[in-house]
Amino acid sequence: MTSRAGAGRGAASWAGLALLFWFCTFCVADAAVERTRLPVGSTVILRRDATVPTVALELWFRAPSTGFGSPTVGLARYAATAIAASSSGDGLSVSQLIKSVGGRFLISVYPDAVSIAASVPGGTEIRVLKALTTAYFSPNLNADAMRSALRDVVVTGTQELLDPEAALHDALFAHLFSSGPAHYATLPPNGSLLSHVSLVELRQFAARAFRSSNAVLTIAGDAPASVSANVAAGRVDGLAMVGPLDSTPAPGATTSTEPYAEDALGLAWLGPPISDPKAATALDFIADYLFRADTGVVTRASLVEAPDAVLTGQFVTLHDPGVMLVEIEGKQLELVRNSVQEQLERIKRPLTQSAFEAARRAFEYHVLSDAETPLAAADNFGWYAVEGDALYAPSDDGAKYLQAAESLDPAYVARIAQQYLGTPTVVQLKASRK
Amino acid sequence: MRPLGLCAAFILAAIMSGTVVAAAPIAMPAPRQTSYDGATIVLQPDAESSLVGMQFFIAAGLDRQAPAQNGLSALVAEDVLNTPVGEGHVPLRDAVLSEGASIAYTVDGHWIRYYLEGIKANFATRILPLFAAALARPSFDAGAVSDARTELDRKIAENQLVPLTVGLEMLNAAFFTDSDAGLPQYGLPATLAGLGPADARRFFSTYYRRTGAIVSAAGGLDSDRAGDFFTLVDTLPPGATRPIAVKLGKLRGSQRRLVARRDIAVPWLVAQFPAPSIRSRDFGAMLVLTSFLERTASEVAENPSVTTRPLSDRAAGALYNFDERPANVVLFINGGFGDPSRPFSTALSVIQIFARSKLSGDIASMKRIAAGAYVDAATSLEDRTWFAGVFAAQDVSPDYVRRGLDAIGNVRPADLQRVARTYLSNPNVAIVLPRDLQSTPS
Repeated sequence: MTSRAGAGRGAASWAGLALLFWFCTFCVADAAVERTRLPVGSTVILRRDATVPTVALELWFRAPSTGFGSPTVGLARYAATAIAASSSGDGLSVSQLIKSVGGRFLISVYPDAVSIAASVPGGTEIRVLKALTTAYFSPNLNADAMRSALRDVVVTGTQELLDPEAALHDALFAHLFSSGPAHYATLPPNGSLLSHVSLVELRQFAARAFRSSNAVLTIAGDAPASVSANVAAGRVDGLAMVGPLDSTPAPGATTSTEPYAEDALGLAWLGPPISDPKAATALDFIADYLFRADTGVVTRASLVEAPDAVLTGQFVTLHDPGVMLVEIEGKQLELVRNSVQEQLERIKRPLTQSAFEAARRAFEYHVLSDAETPLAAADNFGWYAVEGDALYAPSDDGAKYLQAAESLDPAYVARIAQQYLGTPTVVQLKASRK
Repeated sequence: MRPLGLCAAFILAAIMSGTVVAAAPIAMPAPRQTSYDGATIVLQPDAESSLVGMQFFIAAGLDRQAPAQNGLSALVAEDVLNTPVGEGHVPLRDAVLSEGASIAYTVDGHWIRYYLEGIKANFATRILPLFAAALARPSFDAGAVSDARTELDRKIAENQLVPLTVGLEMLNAAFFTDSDAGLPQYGLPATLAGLGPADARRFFSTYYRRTGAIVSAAGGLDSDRAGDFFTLVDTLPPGATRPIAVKLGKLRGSQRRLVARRDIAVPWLVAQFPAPSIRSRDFGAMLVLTSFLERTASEVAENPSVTTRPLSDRAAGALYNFDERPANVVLFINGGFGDPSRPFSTALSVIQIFARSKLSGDIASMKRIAAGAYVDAATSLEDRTWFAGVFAAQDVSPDYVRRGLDAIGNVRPADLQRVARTYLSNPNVAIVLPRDLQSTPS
């Protein structure tokens, strides 16, 4: 496990500087991406783009999805949703305000982080930013908002139960990590687990998780340069951001079978931490080369061999450790699994230089394409910031990520595959046969 | 039918919160339009972007094929993507991938649209020439056509599991009575089986023509680089083509319902209404009504949610297909949250109230939501090039953001009444049911 002290020290020193100035930009002078530390302790990452008509505004908080005390599955989602449903002074909740301008409002909860996202038309971002930061930095929770939130969380959880990809993801993480937030699902399977949570408990979680000093605000799109001056004044608590929330890996790979509505198969491996960007990028490259939708080597082969199969594969960059996942749905699971394993063995031998160069150009294109819209770019900034290396975000113009991609070579990629992609943790979802 | 009290509540909610947020106008750089030898080139440069996206619209869509040729447009596009190009003599889709790009196609009623997107540094010098090479000498040998047919059969089978597509294909077949634009986009296995290399070659040489073609590009381009696309246009021979002339009968009867059964989990209800074109004075009002229709149906089909559900998880939605000729509006509701006929009849009742009586309140709230939804659909390079190309294709300014927002901004209550009355009554309805469900929603 990596020490969390570094991030904490950095955050504290920036908070000190922020007492002197409203803003202090600490990115390179001519970069399009601006980074700021606000007096309330929040970090702001802003990428302006006047050629799109919308603005994405996202608040990212480091917080365990199960709460800071004994684990309660879905607690972070419940609290985040209840705040969004709470009415503000003008009678509208944040959710209602965003919808009233024709925008979209999204809450994403990960084991170690919560993201609150709005995509709104240009010209409305200042009002929405004020409302978002007021709501989350000074939560005003009540029983009505709790009821709306519980219903919303239960509906979302039920939809996720029906999604084999989400079920595999949760089951694989539960086996990969023996304890810590990554061991648990982020959504409850039903409302009963959350119905006993009191208003006081929800307020306590919100006050600790959604502090302004625990927030990264990411903004992308058609926003004015001064947009972050509209962040609501929150408490200046002098505290640092919560350190990255790592979970404890299980002692070894396991194989298990679990009941589900349909058959599906998942494979997972622990990977490098974000502090080893070259190795993490190599695993991103492998996932793209083998499993990218439409273009991955295994994906294309399975289209021919098993046309009804749905195959996904990705490397999840996490603070420590990262996780490689492969998920297979369809009727011919073993056939596709064999194809996956065959190609994983091949990638442990270096690709030819020409094949590697072509695959890397495709990879670099996919990385840029995946962060192209304002919402995708803001997501990208937020994710890498909470995982501990904001500059490694592929949408950052410092190009640390692309430099890591450029530094790869066939032998290195093969070595990383050998090092990390050994025996996988396997979860087989089995439908009951009548 | 829903009680009128509920319908009135929706209308009241629509006009109540008119003064909450006054948005500043969106000022985006207008796309630049150039003519070149019968074709139109529209550019939206963005110096900051690392990527370039380009749509190439060619008038070789569904309305250029007879019913017995259904699938030919897609078959030819598959062949273009599989044409060997470049030094490695590899299929176009692999060759562009190796250069850091992707290529895909969409078959529309009128157009075949290719979308090419890639890394800025390679786009003009390496990626675009590969596409031009494939268009200049497409491969239609028997093996390539057979592979294309196999791929289309797979896509057809996939589409049969998508209830919205199943419903739309039935509705389109009845809606487009003056052309074959309502045929299924990938054809039918039976028609594809009868198509060979000679058909593909003939279709390509007849309909891949320069006049009326549109190049719409956005992203990391210099504003004066329209010339980069001349070579692409030059690959097509000069001349214009016409759709195949047909006259099909309209659906008759008071209940214009089409029913299909598929291997799906819940019933779906899909309704289609005629709609005004982009050029019409009713364009803005229809954008507002479509947005309102979607919210009304969603809020009855599922309780109002705190977060915005992704499209795939929504119980209801509405699409204004203003790119099609004639334009149309589609309302869809699935039974994931209960009987879809309940929200459907509520939505229709609300629209009928709009049609019968002019709203007396402020409609600013409805307009603001419609404007937000409109611009939210234009954030990716692919969407932005599509919008500009669609507007240019209908001979209006490709400045789609300004034009759409102005159209919405100018809507008055009387416009909503007129447009609801003119277009939104007595739709064609498709009902797609799970195979094992015995009853049909009322």
